[in-house]
Amino acid sequence: MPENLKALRDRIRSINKTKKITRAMEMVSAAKLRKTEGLMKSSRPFLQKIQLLLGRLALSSGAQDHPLFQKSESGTPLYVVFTSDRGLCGAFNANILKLAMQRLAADPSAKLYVIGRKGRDFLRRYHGDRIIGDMVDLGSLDGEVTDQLSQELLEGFENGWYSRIELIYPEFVSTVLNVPKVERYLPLEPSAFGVSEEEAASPIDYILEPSPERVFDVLLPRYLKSKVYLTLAETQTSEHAARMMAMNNATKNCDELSEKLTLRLNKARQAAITTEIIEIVSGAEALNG
Amino acid sequence: MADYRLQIVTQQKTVFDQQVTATTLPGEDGFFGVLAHHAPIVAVLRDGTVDIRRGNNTQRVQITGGFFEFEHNHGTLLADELTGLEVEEDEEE
Repeated sequence: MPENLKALRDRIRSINKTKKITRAMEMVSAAKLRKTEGLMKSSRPFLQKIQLLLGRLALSSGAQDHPLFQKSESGTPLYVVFTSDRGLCGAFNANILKLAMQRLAADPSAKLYVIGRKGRDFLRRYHGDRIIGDMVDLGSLDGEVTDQLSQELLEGFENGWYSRIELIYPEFVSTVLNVPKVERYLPLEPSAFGVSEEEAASPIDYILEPSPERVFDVLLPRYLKSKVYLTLAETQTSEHAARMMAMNNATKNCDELSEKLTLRLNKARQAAITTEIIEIVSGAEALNG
Repeated sequence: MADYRLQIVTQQKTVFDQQVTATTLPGEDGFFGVLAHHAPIVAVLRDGTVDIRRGNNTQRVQITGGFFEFEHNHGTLLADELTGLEVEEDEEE
């Protein structure tokens, strides 16, 4: 039975169309990646500075007494899960959600706050009753959204609803790699603030103007805001990188498939022609005979 | 005159990183000046004008809130928002 030439041609055509789409998506993601990566990198110094400063201050003055450094006994743990709004980005969301599911299974009392439509839709199905809030359709990074989120989290912590808050997000390692990560948000852990050991041995004795309390009141909200901002930037950068890679692979697969099918088409066409020639020749032979 | 390194950083990016001789900042308790080799300090700032002096050259920028840190002859100004410095930095793209 000869292969259906028309069906083959249609398939090749459709695969080539898909290829055009995946290639376009790859290029769009590449452009977005460049943009968000720039944003992410240029916003790092701010957080690093505050972090270092907080770490140093925590060493010297009575910072540890501040409520945001205190472990809270009341309330439940809260996990803030960062995912993307859109799919077609490989295992990106699956990896994050897998880690989130593990944490949730280990921590039956924990509550959830989900960023991104993919994460919300997934977690709703399994842990709908544990979700206390979500944010979808974030679009590009903007200060207002991050302010709102950090405000909400801070309030919840101050009111004693949450004993601790952890962020689950994809850490951007490189274009080809992002690693799901769990990071403490509140209460603050000065040990994670990157103060070197020599420095810890001889802390800098800062003058705090106008007062230590006031300095902490100004520093801490900015730190928390900045942390959310950077986490979101990192999520988006990882998302675009993941999509770029996924679409690159898809384009390559299309190429491969189209090549294989073209070969099959040519073979089938050749076979059909050969059959026809044989028929004609044998017909002519019969007449001449 | 001795100078020190001053960095101005906002949430979005580092907008200034140069050697300066003196800076005048709007502290919550009033303006104060910082020369080289100042004692380590962390100061909360209110909205206002920051004067940055390099030799005989003074640059003026507006900030809305933030704070200033100084240690080991290295000053860092973390501003919430900042205007008046775009001239030298925003030349990319």
